[in-house]
Amino acid sequence: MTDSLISARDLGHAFGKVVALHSLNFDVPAGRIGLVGANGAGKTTLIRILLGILSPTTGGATVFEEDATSEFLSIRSRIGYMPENECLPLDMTAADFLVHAAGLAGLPKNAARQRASEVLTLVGLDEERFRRQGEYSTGMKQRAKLAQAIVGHPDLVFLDEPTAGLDPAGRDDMLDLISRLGTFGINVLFSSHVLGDIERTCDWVLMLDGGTVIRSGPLDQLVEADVASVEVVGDLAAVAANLRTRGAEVEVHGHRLVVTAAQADPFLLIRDSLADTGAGMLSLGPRETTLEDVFLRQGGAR
Amino acid sequence: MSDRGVVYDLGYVPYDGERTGRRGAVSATFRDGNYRVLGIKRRARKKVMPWALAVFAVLPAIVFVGFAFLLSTFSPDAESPFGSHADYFNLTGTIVLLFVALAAPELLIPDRREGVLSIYSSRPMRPDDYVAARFAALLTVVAGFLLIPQTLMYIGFAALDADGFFNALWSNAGDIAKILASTAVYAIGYAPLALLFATLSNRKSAATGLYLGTLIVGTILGAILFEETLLSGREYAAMLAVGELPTHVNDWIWGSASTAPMATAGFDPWVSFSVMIVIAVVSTVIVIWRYRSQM
Amino acid sequence: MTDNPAFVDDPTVEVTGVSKWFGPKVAVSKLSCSFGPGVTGLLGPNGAGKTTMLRMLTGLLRPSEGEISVLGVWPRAKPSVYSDIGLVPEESAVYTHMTGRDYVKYAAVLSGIDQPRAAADRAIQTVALEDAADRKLEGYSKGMRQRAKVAAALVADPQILVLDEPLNGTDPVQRLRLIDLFRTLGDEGKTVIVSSHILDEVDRMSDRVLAIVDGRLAAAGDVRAIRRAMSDIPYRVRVETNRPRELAARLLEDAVVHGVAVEDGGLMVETEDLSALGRGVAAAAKRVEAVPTVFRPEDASLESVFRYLIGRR
Repeated sequence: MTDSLISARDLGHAFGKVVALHSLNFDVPAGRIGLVGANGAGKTTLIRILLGILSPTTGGATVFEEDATSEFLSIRSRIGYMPENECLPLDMTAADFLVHAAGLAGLPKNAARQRASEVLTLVGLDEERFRRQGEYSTGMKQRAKLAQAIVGHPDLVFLDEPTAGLDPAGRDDMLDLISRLGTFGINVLFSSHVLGDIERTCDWVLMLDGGTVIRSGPLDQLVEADVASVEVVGDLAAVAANLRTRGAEVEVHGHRLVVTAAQADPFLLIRDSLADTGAGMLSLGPRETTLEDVFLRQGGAR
Repeated sequence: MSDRGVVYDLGYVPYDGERTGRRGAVSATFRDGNYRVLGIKRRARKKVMPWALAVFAVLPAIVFVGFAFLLSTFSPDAESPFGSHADYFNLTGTIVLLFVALAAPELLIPDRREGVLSIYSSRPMRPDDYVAARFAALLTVVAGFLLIPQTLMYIGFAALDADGFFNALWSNAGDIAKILASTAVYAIGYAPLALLFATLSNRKSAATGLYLGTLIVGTILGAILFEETLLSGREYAAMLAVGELPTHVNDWIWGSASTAPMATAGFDPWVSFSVMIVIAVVSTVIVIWRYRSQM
Repeated sequence: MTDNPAFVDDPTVEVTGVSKWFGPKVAVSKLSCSFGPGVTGLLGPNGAGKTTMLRMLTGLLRPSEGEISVLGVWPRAKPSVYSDIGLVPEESAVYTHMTGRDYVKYAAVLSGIDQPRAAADRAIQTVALEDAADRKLEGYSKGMRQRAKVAAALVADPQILVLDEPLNGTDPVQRLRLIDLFRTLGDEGKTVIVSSHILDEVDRMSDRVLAIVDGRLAAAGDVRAIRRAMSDIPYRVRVETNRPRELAARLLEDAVVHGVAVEDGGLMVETEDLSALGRGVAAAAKRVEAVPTVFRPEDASLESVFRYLIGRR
């Protein structure tokens, strides 16, 4: 359990007879962590345990190497939380609410006012900050929610479905902001259903399904460097045949070829086969397992 | 002179200053509670009731002092018939009751309905801290409603006293303890129960209505059972008039004969006081218990 | 044969010169398009007219100007056509005390079909909600509620299916199942209209897309063709190789390449013709003895297309 940002040992939780989490074990390093899973997979329960709102029925978890249940006061003074549900007081302006949130995060009065203003600018709420939050669109609400989560400059921020309800432009902005949090020195636990969002912003992924961990590892481990994947434009069969004569193993998936070669560089072989046959490439790269593939392979059958 | 220029990075600046931890979170919650019940930093219409009630609470004091002043300029020895502290508490007591009926739901319900409680649950404080901070905010404002006019009268009458300002302040000093005691009595008599209703109900109008309704019905029922029936043990029915408990204790503090139902029924003020405390404690315990399960 | 990708040859839903205003706000402005068998994705920023469009398509709103016809009629004029339209709305308008099965059966009964029980059971099977069908809706997760809504929309076997954010809250496995389902329905000849913000999925599900920006039709047709039509915006392609500068120099000799930048240990190639570049890069690399390991268009996806569409005002 050295140097892990968040860890769990035999962590379990049951609501009466319903078991939400079964004996979880994981260690997650600092950085941007994606928490992925289906509804009912236990993501929310896990977050609530890490926040100290719920006590686990078995085992334990640590955040910043402190026990999540007994040291919740200490942990909470270093974290921020962006809930999935509605959580903004509707009769307050974002400007006023953020000052209050900064106070809740332990900032003294003047610092609170300053930080509130800076963070609102950072998330892109300009004149809207002086309107009451009850009048906000989904995009504005999500920005305000993110703002209150980071106003105290936490060491770790929990984001629960931060892109829910946002249109593509809003989602883009939100994911950009989340990516930048790392450069600000803020670790992120990003909980989402949308695998593309996680692939875009996170360095590490923790996948839950049915209350168990099905994968915990860095995202770039999903890339297999010795296996090439190419989408071909033109005579696919000819290209595949050409590759095979050069000694490569070729799998065909629609327009895509997955190429491995025992004794040679598959990319070299692909280059030469394409040059020979005159076909073109639409895309080329190492074979990447997407999060979706992992999910389907390891979790899907439920 | 030199060819130098600099561009400052206006990007994100981390905060590494002082942090006030749990104490800061609790006081922020307390402050926000005060603003909330007074309608500060909220829409104009939320300010109407609290400030109107505040005016009704304070204005008579100003009028009484003013009247005494006028009286003293015309006939220096006459005593003003208005402005006994005891009577004033009875008056402001009702205003406080209305205020608390409106303020308690405003204080607790929106945070639950709008989901803001999720944010408080992630802050370095316990559920008990949240409840305590909200309680404290309500009690503070209630105390203000009660103390401000009393202080105005105390100082005002002392200023007009024939024996001189400082002498009057000194000789009436015994009243200070009574003023503080009565303030506490009204605050404890009304606020915790209102907060209980605001915890059990999720709609502001329902919480206000049920609270006031319970008190009114209790008083009426108590009166009917006590005065109109001949059942044995009917004096206990007088205790149903929960809203009158503070009045009984207040009258006793100021040494005036009490017309509260439980007084008429022959109960000692200590009994009323104890019942009040029990209600306050039970209400508080239930509120804390509910919030512990939600946070 | 219609050349305009905004229209289909065999339309079931036709939108002709439609505008809708709410007081001074013009939500939709002189829009014309049509929908037919297959899956059409409807995209647009929030507040740009997409939701208004959907409500008009289902007869919930009347256009201020222009005409909408669904299977030849304006839906409200001939209510019987409603049994041919299935709607999965975005809001969670479900009766929480009902079980899933009852909810779907209720929808079946409302559409007046012959054997509501059987139809409901079939619909539930189609969305794989068998296990939870007899539990109350209030215990359902978001994804399960979505599936229940889809089942309710499918129960009368409508010819037209309008889906507003149908994948909201569903987990990756359910997502793929539903995407498959919608594709199959489209292939079977139903007119499926899907509105979603998750562009990657819209891309996977749809045969064609319509983008509505500021109340007007900003683009229509096949995604790749739309991108090609944006000829003033060159494609940006990330290329990685062991000999970047040599490859860069070689590529610049090709007229179709506008520019090459060296970035992050690789190249960013700008070209007006993506397929020409794709055809030429292998030969070019071979000439300079470079082995390309990555060739990745950065802005050909629906996401990028959408971003460009929003940017053009």
